[in-house]
Amino acid sequence: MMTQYRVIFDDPDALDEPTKVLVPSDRWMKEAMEGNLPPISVYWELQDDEQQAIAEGRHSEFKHDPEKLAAQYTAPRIGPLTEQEALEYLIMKDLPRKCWAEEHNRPMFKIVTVDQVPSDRTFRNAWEMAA
Amino acid sequence: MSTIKVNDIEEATSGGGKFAVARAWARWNMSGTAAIVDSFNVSSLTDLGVGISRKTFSNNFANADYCIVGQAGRLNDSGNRIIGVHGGQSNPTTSTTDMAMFSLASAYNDLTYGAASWFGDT
Repeated sequence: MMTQYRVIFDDPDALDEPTKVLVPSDRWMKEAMEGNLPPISVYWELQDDEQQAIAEGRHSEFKHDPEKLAAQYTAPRIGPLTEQEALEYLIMKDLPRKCWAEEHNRPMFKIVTVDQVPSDRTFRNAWEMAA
Repeated sequence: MSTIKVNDIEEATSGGGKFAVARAWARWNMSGTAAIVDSFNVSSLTDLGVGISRKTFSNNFANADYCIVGQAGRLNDSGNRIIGVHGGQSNPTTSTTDMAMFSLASAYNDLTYGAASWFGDT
């Protein structure tokens, strides 16, 4: 399937930067809708471990715990998702966590259709997300 | 469809050298609205700005010491182009790689052809 959706978002740590556009992979969306994904917590644990290594200045020697890494493939699958659910899962997996897990005084991300994304970058760079 | 599970693939002749296969690959287009043309083990592409994009893996690498082989160009157009890892304090990570595409004048470019393969431990 070819998804017609995109996720536009601002990084709360870099609000001066242009709005970013996330393009889901068709192959990943197919896997999600066929029920082949592990619980999202598998990816969060890996992200937490790596972020801690970065914060402690030991990223260059960092290796994932083999059991946590293997859980990507061995954890029980969560079952088929709808397209909307797959996009919500992808947001929680691939967007900076601050975008969706913390409260802000304006939206930090939106799901839009591809035809709502201007192809001219001059317009896109002038965007500001509204409620 | 059946799945073959192995730990190593060795050459049957000439001494049994081992093969390494790409753990992820992607081809993308940054011109106009960014798009993934095709990919494997990539869950998304994020357009971060002119010529700069983030590839996020479906499944993480064991460490961030993987090797990336990439190409960039303008389809149906002239001129040479370059692709590279976009510098950053914590890039690449086990789950993402930020990449930039340039013209030879070192200006970031939204090119029609970007492609990369990732080799490493998973």
